Amino acid sequence: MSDQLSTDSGTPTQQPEETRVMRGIRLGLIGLGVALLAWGAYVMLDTVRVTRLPGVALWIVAAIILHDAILAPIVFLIGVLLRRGGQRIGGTVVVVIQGFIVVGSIVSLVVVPVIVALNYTGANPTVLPLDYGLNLAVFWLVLAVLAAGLAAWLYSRTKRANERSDTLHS
Amino acid sequence: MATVIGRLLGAAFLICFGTGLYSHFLQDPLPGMHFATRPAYLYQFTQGTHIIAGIACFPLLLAKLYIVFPALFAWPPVKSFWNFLERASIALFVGISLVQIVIGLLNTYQWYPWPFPFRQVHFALGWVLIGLLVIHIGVKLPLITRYWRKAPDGNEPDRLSEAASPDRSKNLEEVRLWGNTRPSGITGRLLDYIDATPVAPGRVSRRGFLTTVAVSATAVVGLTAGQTVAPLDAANVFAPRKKGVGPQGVPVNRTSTQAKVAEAAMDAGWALTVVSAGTEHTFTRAQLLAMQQTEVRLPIACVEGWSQMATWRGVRLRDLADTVGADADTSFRLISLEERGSFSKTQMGYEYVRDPLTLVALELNGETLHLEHGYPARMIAPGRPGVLQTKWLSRIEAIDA
Repeated sequence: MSDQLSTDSGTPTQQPEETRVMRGIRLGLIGLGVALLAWGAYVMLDTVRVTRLPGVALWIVAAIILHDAILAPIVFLIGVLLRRGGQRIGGTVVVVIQGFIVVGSIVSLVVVPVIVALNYTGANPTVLPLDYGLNLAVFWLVLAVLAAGLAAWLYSRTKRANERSDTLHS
Repeated sequence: MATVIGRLLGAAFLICFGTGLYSHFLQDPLPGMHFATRPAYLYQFTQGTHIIAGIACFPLLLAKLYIVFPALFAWPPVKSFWNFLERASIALFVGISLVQIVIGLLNTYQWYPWPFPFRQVHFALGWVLIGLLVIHIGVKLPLITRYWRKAPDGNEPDRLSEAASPDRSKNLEEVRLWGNTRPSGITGRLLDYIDATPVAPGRVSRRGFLTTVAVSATAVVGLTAGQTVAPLDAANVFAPRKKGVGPQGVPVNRTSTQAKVAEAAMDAGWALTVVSAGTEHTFTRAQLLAMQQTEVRLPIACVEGWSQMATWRGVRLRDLADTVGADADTSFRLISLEERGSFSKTQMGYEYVRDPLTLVALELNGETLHLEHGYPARMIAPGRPGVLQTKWLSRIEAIDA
């Protein structure tokens, strides 16, 4: 609020000027964006057979639904449940647990398709040569150990701080 | 917070777009286009960056979507025609971003479970995506500049867009959404339940969130980048390629079986035909081996984002071109024994033909070139994508101007 006031009183005459410049830049950007978008659409129509376009549209719509209607609500719900369940442990530890789940899930999101793909690719033995399932399991294990260590340290630190303040008060 | 992650994500998109365009034009140059042949690792660097930035987009995009998720429930859903357009463009932006990074990732291990051609769609969507990004920046510019001038620190109540904690913003959003009157029934009870949920202090939650995103990005990049960044090879546990895995210590993009060339390539009667000014000159493998041999250290770097340094030995293309009397500014067409395949016929600009590192390679890492690496002879040139390093060479034709 104070910041806003100082700007207003400091340069009262400049305000409309700035917004006009801003407006110009914004319109320019939006115009450029629409042009790039139109060019992309043209390239798509020019290089991809029309019969394949519904497939592209289907994937885009499916991605929106998959994220907005399935993935995001699940993540949100897990967050709520975690915070409720973790009321006794304290905020910091809950955040560590959340972080552990999120990091593991994102890595899994990138690696699980590889494991699925192993069933469909295979004509070339130099593609996907590693044991991805095992590596992912080891990754989760290492991540769990690190998160548990961090959570234990944070927990004991908070506890000690609480005890100290208790002694001070009594 | 949305702008912090947004800046990083925007930068990653721009990096992917720029390096993607470079890779595209190397493969399909516009008339008159020429490229830098040095540094020799140029393509290894640009395409490695393309894939690394693309993989980093997974945590960044999900983080960004997580922060702005409450905006999905803005009420009323559509305020005006412009508001409708903006929301529609955001939906498209989200959908295409997700599709783009997913098909890009799956392409790195040559898996194509979708009903459209990868390369063309990935290219066209790249333009669309950058267009939507520029539109998005244009729409949100006032917000972005406000944040740019003054980085909000964690202690200050963050009123400009979302609350300091992404979780608290959800609650704020809900108040805005439903007003103070709560719907009754299950919805109301669910919202009460969500509101009664304790929220971590803004600073803790903000730090935790950013740390989580940073650790996720470090993990997905650090555990895959070893397929092209040599020092990270030991940490490469998730990438589709592993350095040193393949015949003669080099991974293979397309096998001789996939290209259906084994028979033609092993034919004892094979000879390389070099055409210049309408005259055909043929060179048997023995004749090529009898010419002056040059050894070079060059990486093979693929569009899929992996690369492998190797030692190649063979005849300089420049020498062959001189032998058949081609001019210094003559570009060549390279033709493989492979009959089908989009890269069986490609072009090489004169800047590569004349580079002393460009070879018709006959040996790899001290051994006779393996069939999977293009026996009897293949191209190797500095700074070009692997698909243009034509294997199983059959003909080299001067493109007469």
